[in-house]
Amino acid sequence: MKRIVGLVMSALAVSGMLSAQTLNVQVGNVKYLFSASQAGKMTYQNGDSLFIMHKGFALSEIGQMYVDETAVTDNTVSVVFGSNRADLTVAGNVARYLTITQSGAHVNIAQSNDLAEEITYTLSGTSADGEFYLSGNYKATVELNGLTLTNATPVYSGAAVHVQNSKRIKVKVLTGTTNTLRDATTGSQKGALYIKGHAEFAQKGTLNVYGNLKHGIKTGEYMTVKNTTINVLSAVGDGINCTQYFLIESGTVNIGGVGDDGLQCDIDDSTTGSTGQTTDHENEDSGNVYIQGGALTINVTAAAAKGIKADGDIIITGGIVNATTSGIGKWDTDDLETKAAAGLSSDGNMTVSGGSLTLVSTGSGGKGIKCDGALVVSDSAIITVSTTGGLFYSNGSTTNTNYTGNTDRIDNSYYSSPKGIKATGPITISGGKIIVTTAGRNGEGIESKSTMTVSGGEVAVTAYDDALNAASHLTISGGMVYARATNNDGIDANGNCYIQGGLVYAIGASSPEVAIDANTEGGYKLYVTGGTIVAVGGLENGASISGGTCKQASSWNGSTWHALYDGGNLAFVFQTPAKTSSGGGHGPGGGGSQKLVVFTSSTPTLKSGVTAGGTGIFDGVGFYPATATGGSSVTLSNYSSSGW
Amino acid sequence: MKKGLLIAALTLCLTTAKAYDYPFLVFVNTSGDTTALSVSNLTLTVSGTSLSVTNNDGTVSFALTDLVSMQFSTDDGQLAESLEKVLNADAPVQVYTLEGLPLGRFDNLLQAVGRLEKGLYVVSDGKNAQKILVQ
Repeated sequence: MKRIVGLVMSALAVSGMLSAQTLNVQVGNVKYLFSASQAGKMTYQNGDSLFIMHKGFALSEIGQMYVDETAVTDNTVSVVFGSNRADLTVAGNVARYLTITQSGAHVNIAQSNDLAEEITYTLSGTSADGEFYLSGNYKATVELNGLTLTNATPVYSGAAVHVQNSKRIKVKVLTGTTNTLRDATTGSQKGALYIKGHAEFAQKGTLNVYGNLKHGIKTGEYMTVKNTTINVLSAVGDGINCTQYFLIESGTVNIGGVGDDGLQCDIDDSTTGSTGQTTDHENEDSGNVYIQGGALTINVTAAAAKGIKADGDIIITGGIVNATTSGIGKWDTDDLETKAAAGLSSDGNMTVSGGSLTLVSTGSGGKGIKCDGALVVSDSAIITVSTTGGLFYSNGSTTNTNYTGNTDRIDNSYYSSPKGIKATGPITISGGKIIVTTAGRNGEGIESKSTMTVSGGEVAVTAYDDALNAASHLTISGGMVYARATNNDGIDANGNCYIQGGLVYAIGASSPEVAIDANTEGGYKLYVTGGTIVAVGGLENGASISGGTCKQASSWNGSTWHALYDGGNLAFVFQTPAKTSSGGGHGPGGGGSQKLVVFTSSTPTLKSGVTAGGTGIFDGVGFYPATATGGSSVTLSNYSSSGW
Repeated sequence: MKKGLLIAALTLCLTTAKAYDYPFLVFVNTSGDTTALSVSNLTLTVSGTSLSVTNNDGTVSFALTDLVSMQFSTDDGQLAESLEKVLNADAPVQVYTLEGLPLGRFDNLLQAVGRLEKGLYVVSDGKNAQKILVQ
């Protein structure tokens, strides 16, 4: 408690147990609180008005005035919603800057342009027909303190909470509180919670959102999340739609029951275009999605819907992402091509250096990751992808969700393949762990429309089509790669394929497919210069092999654990795939005649029927480092690169 | 002289105990007359052309057209007048440390006091300066 002791007024100072005085001025359902220490001279004018701290009141509108000891916190406004009313309390120091209008529980607060201090608006209570509408040109904090608000009949906006300020709006979902927002089914609002500026969610409360007209949460600028739990339980459009960028540092975001994408981040100024990532995100308009921590669980069902969609890049350095899509593809009447669902979709690059991603896509044509730029996976990233949808075909009038025709003969605008990971740009994997399974026709495991480089980490792919495919060169110089295709090549480069190091276990389908392929027809070649290789289905004809010895086993047992030795040292223990009665376990016939080729830096030897142990890799079909006991030697012969 | 007053003030601080920071609301009418009313259970009611002020001591009515201002006060009415003899209570003030370093500008003296830490300051309204102790 502070007092002034001036040399004139000091003799009148008081001490002891002090209490503050507050003048309460009640106007309608709004109570203005003027602290005695701040109120100063309150002037009456013309017998009809009263000015307190430059806030003018018509005396006729004042319901009551009284003095009590209510504590006043500067720069605060509280709104308590009731069934058909809302009671507001306004700190006197900011009263002059606010124009408040109400209709029942619909509240409209307009901040004057003279406001130069941030106001905290604390919203609480319950109303089945109310709203909070704020406008102004200054940043603000909106605290949700146990608010349950449905906007049934829009007055100012159809949103439950609408902040028109094009500034930084901090949304504090107060710790320990649960808040629920529902917008109207009519109107022009873009979200049940709409913030025209940039929204920074904070504190550890829970916010439930139902978007009854369009999105669940819509921000006109960037959106960040720290600690908060956000549940978008339904939305006609996207669960969360923002621009500039989205960043989650911690907290939980759950999205389901939406009619479009789970989380979509757009570039705000499409004319100027992306700024790219900026230092400290200053003035950033990139359309990027940053996931640094927290947990996102997203379940979308709409045709071609994305779990997370970014106009720019997706950059994941931590956290947990579980994205499930079940929608089929669709014909895009604007782009005149098919579009398909994806767990993560970026128009730009994608970088995953940490965190754990589990991406499941069950719809026709659905993908785990779709990246229109470069994809980089490194460090501690864990990515698990499963797609089970069939090949999607549509020409705008005819749709087939399990197309079985030969896509080599049709324009690629007419179909979407259910791939695990697809990048238009280069794919670079230097660390982390990637597990991919695809089951549908044309379902390549990991595909780059450019180059692919693996230098570290663990990659385990079981795919219907090529397990790894690069439209250009494909290089493996380190790490561990398991690439099994049931209907095509294990590893397929449409340029050169370089195996320079690492551990590679590739399984191709029956001839003419191979375990490791390069575009020989196009004048390219497979170059093996290092590493440890097990290739069920053989290598591409004309491979250049150096830096080690390549052997082949003309006879091998299916579903059997084998130990590969490099000059007497145990290099790798693996389980061969099962063989089917049709002759092969990895494709439509012919598998029984597949050759098993091994390559090590020294001289490879092979044992079959070993008891395996060690560190499990490759989704359960390998050990490295490994132990092996027992078993019998497999006869190996010199490999000829002239083909099979 | 000033030093003596301060010592006297501090002495009073130790010996005086009241319930409020600002125990009075002082009304000023168009004639310059002041009426100080205790804020204990004080309510103000506008009725037609008059303002009725009720507290534990009873009810006082003012003709609204006669009212100029009201102000919280630590005394029974002399404070405002005394204060205004030195500083314009409504004027923006500049606050300095005793060493003369500017600390900030405030809408009025009371706002400044509300925001200042405990200590000794010099306050100027542009015309006059006043040393104050905030405690």
